[in-house]
Amino acid sequence: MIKTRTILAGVLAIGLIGTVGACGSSSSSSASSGFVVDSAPSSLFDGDQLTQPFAKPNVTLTDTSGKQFNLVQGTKGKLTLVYFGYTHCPDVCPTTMATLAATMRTLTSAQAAQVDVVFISSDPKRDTPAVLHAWLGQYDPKFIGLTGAFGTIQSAASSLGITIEPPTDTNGQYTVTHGAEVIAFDAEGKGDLVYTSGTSVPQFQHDIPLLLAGRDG
Amino acid sequence: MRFFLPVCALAVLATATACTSTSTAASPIATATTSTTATGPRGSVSVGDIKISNAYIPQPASPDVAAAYFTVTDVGAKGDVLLSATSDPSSQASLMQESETGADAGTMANISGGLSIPADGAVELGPGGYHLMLTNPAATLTAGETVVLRLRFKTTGTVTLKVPVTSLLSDAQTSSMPGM
Repeated sequence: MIKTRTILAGVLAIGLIGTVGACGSSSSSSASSGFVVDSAPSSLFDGDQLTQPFAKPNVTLTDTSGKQFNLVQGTKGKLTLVYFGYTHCPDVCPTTMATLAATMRTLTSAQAAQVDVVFISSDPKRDTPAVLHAWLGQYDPKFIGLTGAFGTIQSAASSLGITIEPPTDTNGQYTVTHGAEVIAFDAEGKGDLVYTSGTSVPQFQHDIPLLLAGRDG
Repeated sequence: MRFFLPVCALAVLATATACTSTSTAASPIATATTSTTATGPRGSVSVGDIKISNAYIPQPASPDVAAAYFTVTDVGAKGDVLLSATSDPSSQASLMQESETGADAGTMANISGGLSIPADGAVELGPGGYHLMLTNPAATLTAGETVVLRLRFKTTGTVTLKVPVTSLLSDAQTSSMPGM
């Protein structure tokens, strides 16, 4: 099993490198950052495994129903997939949520019940609980959406190595940053797997059962 | 309100299908086609040296913003530049590029001066890279509907194509290779 995965990962890595070379002009740097994912064939996981795990941020924000939500308490014991993005985002944020929603639909209901997907807004001023509820609910009504003071969200992101800047509005050109990755925290709250933009449904499908089974790379 | 959405979507889907089949023959866009591939309906068109293929707009979750994806191929020897676009239903259409801003974060920016299409080459607009952002569309874009895009190229001029609005999850990454 492990050997099969290793070979597959190797083949994928070669395929990806080929793609980068051929389509370099058409892919953005953010997409190409995903290509390191499969470069460590020794890992059991398709995600990028960190040597120094992140701790789940002990942050309290507002959920889509307007209630206070503490990330550590609210997702306790669950495999938790955390992403920082915003709803007025046309490209990466919807793609990431669509990929996670499609992944969740492939899991058994018992598996899905053990997974929390958390979308934390990097544009909290526009992403009110109601806006988050309407947007996120279309992907999966069980997804958790969090908003709040930008500084609080920025600190939480920073503790996970993600630098988000306050949204700027220059002559109607509204610029917002989003995270480039999904971070997976296991049931104990240890976050040592990172999924860069472009991670596919089959890759999440591969890793989630292993994480739920408590396997470690 | 939310409970009525699926019903509306079905109704729109049926209408759009009927419209597409009856309007194709009478359409001035002689070479524009909408076909169904393994990944869902896609629009394409060919004008002069420019071929547009694999065009789709995932149904947006936000009423305010959507992204159009397609591949531009220039089969000629001179290359071309995609300068701007308009849409029907109308929207503010902007060519954007996704980019990293630093530590594990990203943002998008306008492509200044247009998007260069190399001679005998292709540029793909797809999730995570380039996209045509449609801001504040005049109508809700629902799966099954069609958006008409008019792409203005420096040399070829205006290229008009029909782009199907595909399902909300149609931009889910199903392959390990981005954009495929």
